Amino acid sequence: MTGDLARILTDDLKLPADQLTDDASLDHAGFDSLAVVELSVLLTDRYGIDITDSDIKSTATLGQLDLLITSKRNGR
Amino acid sequence: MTPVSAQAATAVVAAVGSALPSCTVSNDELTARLDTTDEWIRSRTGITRRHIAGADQSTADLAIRAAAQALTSSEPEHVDALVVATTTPDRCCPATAPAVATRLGLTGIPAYDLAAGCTGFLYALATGSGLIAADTARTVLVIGADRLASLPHPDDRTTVPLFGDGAGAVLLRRGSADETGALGPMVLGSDGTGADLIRADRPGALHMDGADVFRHAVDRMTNASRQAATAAGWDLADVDRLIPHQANSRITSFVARQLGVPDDRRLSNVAEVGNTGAASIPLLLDHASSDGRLAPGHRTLLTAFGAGLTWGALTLTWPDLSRTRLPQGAPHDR
Repeated sequence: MTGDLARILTDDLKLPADQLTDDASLDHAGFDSLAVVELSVLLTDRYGIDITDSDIKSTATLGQLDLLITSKRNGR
Repeated sequence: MTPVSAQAATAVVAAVGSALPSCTVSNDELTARLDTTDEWIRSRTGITRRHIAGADQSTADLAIRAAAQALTSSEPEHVDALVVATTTPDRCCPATAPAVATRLGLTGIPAYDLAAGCTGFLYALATGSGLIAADTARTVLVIGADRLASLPHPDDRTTVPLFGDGAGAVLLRRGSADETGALGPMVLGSDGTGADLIRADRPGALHMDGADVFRHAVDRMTNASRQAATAAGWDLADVDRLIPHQANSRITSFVARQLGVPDDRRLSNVAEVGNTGAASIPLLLDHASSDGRLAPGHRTLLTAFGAGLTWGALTLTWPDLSRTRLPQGAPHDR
């Protein structure tokens, strides 16, 4: 996982660092429905990328979420 | 030299008061009848209990208790106008405010309701401030009072835990802009395209789109707060106390982070009272000024968001309310 995502998840969303592995599901990492919205807002504010709540919820693992964010930031 | 009349046309906070119903309902009590858990409610809202008005306790009753406390602490010679911000008036018609004024012994003064959802109190401060600026009033009682717990369907596990009942009141007096307690420039806004995100066609039929409400709430309160701080000539780093509408601790802590206001400067009482609508900000002002979390000299930023959609923000430096000096005489005696 990239440092940017890890920092957002621990510093902003206050998720427990020891649960944040690439193969962890969002549920296992401690996401609830509001955390999905919080992450979507933060990604738009920080990086100007538009990732919907559904986009985030459709990723099976944090690793996939990281790839999605990276591809959006790269404009792909 | 600045004309005296121009200097005097600023609203200044002179007193605060609040009222809560005595009956409290804990998360555990809710879980006995709703498909939810204490952990679910706490983690998503920060709420542990809320005060619920009895069937015999009206919005006016709560408003009167809060106002009476503000009046007792300041003993003004006159109250020249009274505004009740509420989404839950006792009747469709007439407004709640004239009855509140009469029961406070203020029959004859202008008294009216104002509905702007959970932003209602800030809107009411703006109109109260306007009455003072226009020289229509020297002292205005601004009350936020709601029985929001009456709005959700009793079986709706997602909205019932959020709301409580209560009232808060602020007495505004005519003063000057350079005094502590003077209300700073106000930022207010609305957007009817979001009218359906929080709506109740009747009591017991509240609908709330949680994800979109969260998104709009943080965006609107963050932007309004930045604008209000800029208009007052403040840097956000100067803010000693952030007093956001107590909707939900996840929303208010997110707003604080977006603003760069340290979390220990964000005041909250949502754990004990839930979301009390228009009462939320004056309730917190009263609680925090009573227990010392809000002290004279604190540079304070108020912000709110609510159904409408509506939002607002304003700044003030918290005054020493033990030394309030109220203007003497009726507004047109001068």
